[in-house]
Amino acid sequence: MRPYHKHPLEDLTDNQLDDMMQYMFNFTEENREHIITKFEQARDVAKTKRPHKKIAAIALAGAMVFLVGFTNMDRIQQLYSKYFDGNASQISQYAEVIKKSSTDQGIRMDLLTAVNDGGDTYLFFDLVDETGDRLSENTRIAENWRLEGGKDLGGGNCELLEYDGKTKTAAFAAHSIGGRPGEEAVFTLNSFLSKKVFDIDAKEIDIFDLATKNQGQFKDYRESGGYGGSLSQEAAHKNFSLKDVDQVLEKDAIHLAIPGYDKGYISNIGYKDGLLHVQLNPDKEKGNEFSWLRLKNPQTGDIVDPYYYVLYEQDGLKYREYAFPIGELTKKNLDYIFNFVGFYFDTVVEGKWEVRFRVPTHMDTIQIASDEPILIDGKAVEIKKLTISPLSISFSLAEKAALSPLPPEEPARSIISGFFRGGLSDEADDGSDLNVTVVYKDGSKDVRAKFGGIGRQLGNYNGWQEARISGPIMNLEDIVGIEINGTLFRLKPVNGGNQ
Amino acid sequence: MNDTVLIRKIKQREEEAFSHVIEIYSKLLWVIVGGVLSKSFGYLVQDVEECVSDVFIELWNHPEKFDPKRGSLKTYLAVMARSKAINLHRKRGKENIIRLEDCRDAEMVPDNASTSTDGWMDQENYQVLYEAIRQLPKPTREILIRRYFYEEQPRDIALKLALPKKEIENRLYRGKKMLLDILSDVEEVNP
Repeated sequence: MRPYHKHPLEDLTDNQLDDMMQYMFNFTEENREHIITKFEQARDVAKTKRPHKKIAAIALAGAMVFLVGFTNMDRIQQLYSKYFDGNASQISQYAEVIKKSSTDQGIRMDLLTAVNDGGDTYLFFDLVDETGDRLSENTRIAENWRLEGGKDLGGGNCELLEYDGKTKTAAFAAHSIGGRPGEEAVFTLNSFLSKKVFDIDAKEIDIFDLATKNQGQFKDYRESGGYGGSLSQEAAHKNFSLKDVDQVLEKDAIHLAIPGYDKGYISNIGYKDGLLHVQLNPDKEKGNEFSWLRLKNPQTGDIVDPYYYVLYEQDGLKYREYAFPIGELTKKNLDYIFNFVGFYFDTVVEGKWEVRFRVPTHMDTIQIASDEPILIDGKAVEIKKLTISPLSISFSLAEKAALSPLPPEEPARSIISGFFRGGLSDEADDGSDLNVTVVYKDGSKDVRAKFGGIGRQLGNYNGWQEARISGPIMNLEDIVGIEINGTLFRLKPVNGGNQ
Repeated sequence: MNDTVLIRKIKQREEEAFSHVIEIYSKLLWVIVGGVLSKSFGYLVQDVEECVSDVFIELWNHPEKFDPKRGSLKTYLAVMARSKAINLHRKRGKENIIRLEDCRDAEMVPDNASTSTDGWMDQENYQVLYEAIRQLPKPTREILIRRYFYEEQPRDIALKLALPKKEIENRLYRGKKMLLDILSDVEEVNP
């Protein structure tokens, strides 16, 4: 039996230890409190994971004990379950309980907890209306929030998790890219919104009449400030890609209001190659709206979705153009009405809610050796730093012919970054060039993301780029490896990885 | 609470026992961890807090790993603190400062592990040694503390203090001689 090796410092007196502080961070009561808090948080999590042998006794102890037992960690577990799709216990062991508040306009924001996976930071917070009834299931937080400070911290999404009408409490999760453990960050909220859903049948508009009288002219899409769009499944199956869109309508040829819809107007319409193109110009002043234009059969209610739609921006206005597959331009083929569905946000309350916190320690990650190149658009691409955490997959990549030394700690800003929960992103249909799949020991596969666009950028960059897929949790113990464009990289930890 | 009772309560995961352990050992672990995760390497005070709390968390999660037959709870926690600090340091890619052979944890320590005092100093007399070192001038004082209390290699001390390795070795040599003088005086007073 080998004895524990005694540390030279063990024998020093308390005063001598105090004297040692001149060579390091001073030890204060505040530090001791922090240590105790961190210990208690981890202990509470560990308790929830242990089998409850005394359930019967606890039940007998009555309702009061039950309420006391409903700790903050229970609430965090609930929120994690909602956000991380039921894998809360795996994640919550890394939770940092924050419990800081900020009140304005009679509404209190409680920052509850944060978790960090080495690349992204997730915050969980409540809004509590202490004086009114301004929150609901439709409360949303869109652009007017910021998470700043820490390494590269910024951007992201904010999502309503639940609303409790009895306590007038709305719980949210905010997800931001970046954040270095230990650094101070500031979470600021400046307003919150209410989501309004609409579904408008524009029966007053005769589409055939409009299309034949206003034969909109087309121009080169590449010169129109295009920046995205989406494809129907039918288009994707035919291997159609947004790259194939070369013509869009001239802007603002007409100005046709849509009855019951005040967020924009039809600004052009035209026919080309079997597709009816409809250009929509959202009202800049009344923006912040997300709509979808469809054709609807007024008799049967059948819906025709666009074959594709594209977005382009000119003079500060964001145009949308929908292309419907109608065949020939005949009255019979256009026996439809326009149907606008979507939602917009009304600002409910403006104010300032701000809380400072420290980015928590990140969870363990696994680095996977990736010694084989993959092919993207026929070009050999090297993958490095392939890393998985319970919350994400990330890697650096560079075209093999143009390799430069891998940036050690400061990778280039992401050229692809998405937040995929419960499925593929809308962009997945865009003739994907980079397919990332999780392969499990039982043989099943989970297609995590298909990125469009990266192939197009490969020819243009010289250095390494960073890919990151945040999203649904996976059970790391059950994974064989990560498959990227058909090449399987098996879990064989390399230096710096943990398993 | 004596050690036997404390250890029994720890094994039973009694919260009161853990509060007691944190209360009495936090400062020692802080000094052990703080010497490794130093400000000069870019560590934050939060890193030290995290590392120290990890030691107590580990004890909570696996109290059965502590074997009283192998040493005291204090020694066990000190070994774990040092090991965790070095591991963190290594993870952060600063292993050039602390070399692999310096990493020791409860499982890696040989039975008769020698200390960096090269056998000329009884391990039980560190309090006396510390007081003697305190009498030395700067920066020799810190150099000897790092050498004898953190068991750092001269080249690592040189990196930390931004001094040439040769100077560190010279100061160690001279400091050691001065220490022997001081300690022999101590012995004369307390035979």
